[in-house]
Amino acid sequence: MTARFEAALNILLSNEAYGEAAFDEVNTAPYKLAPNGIMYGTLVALTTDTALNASPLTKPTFIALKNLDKSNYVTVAYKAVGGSGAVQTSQIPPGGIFAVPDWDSSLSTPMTLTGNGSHCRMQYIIAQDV
Amino acid sequence: MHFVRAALEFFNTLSYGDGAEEARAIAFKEPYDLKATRYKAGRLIAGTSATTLNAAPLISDATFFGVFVNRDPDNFVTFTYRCTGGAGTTQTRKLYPGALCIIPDITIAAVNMIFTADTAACNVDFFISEERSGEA
Repeated sequence: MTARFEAALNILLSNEAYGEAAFDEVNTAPYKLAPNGIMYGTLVALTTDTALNASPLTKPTFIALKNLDKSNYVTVAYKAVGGSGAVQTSQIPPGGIFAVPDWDSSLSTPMTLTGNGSHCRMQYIIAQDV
Repeated sequence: MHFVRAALEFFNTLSYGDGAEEARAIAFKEPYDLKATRYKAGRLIAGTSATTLNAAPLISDATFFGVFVNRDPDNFVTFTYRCTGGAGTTQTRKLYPGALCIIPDITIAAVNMIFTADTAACNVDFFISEERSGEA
């Protein structure tokens, strides 16, 4: 895997790499990549549905998500380069991780996250080869 | 999350030929304690553009956790599969050269995974397990 993707996964897997500010960041747009090409934060919603909008990112993007809920699943839906435009879905188990290299973040359609509980809480990492 | 770490370690140490088994032993040593876990891992190599990953003997109704890395430094690989979250629909992933993909909800019982490279060769490392990533 590329060094940037690997770095993103390592950040996601080691919580100590997060600062308190990152944990408090709640779906704040516009998103900006750090100079190292990585952006991360925590997406929190008190309803079951929420969205991660990568605009103004323009390239297919590596994204990794971790479901912070210990008892509920979260379903993620998005468009990917590999899906020929079709909506892709995946179900992330409690505490589970999901990562794909081909999220089509250039689209205005956001990635939607739907929890099966009363809320949705996800950590996310976005990385691009800039 | 130990599964993800174990899988990544496995991929980072896996090599062709004689070193593969040794790398596997390193990747699955304690503290991961995966001895009792049903998994299948290795390198999928095909001289044609399309190849299939058959999960036997892991075939069951279980949902599989899978990690895949395209080892080709120059070419794309596309793979299709079915997953729990897709309500039975076929999902498609495009792996960039060197890219990694983690899917937590693969359903292998009904349909094999098919890997298609954009050249005449396919070279993908895989790790699939009946344990879900969040339960390790």
